[in-house]
Amino acid sequence: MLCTTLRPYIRICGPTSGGLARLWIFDADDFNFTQAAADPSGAKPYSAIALRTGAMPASGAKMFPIKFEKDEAEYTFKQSRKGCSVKYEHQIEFKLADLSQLITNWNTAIDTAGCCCGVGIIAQFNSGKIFVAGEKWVNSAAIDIPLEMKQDGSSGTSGKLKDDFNGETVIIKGDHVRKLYEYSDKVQSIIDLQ
Amino acid sequence: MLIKIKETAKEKLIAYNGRALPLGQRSDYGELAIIALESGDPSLLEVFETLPTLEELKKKKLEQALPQLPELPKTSSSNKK
Repeated sequence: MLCTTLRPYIRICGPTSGGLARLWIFDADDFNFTQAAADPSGAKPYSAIALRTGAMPASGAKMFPIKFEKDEAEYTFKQSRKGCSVKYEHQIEFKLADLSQLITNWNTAIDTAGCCCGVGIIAQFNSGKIFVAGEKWVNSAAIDIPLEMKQDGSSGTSGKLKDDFNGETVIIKGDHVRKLYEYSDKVQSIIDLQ
Repeated sequence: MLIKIKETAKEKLIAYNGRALPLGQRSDYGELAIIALESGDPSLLEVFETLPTLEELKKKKLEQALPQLPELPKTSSSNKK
């Protein structure tokens, strides 16, 4: 108390689940995230998402869903520090089935985004929580410190046997100064933006 | 308590309160007004033509959330001890 302000972690007792239920990617310049002011409990989750001026769904300003292999998507992070400098390595890993022109084109788009502006990601966990990575606009202003999520380290295989996995293991990652913020609204509001 | 959306904002797509439909197709402006005032997000505040205070909005929301209790019969003074 005399040096710093600590907080309790007391969650309402109940079951939870692992894994990701849904994933979307988006152009982080297309969407503005609304966040209420922080209070003594800390930063608030995002409560609304709006298309920014000039971003039109008909021109491709959408949330793009990713149909990954069931039970093959995972979000991980690793925190590290050197002195007072703190880093969070965020990573989303998922499997896409069936190597094809479709996957080639999807990769081209993701790699271009990674080079030019980063990829925005929304992940709905099987716990029901929805997290945002790579957002760039909050409360109609540029986010303080951006997190640039990029494809890096993906791999793929045709497999050898007929029942081997044929597809790509995608890795999208980025370093940030904090953990991800939640989006507190229901998932249908994201689905409506597809 | 009047909440009015600008005509120019009726096509605006905002994800909140469980949906992301054009504002002209919605009626849950009270929820959006609370989000706008709590965040001070200019892009949300600018969609409103008229906007009550946050206190008024929260009071209204609380009143709507409370169950409607049946009116209790009036107690006559003779029943009092």
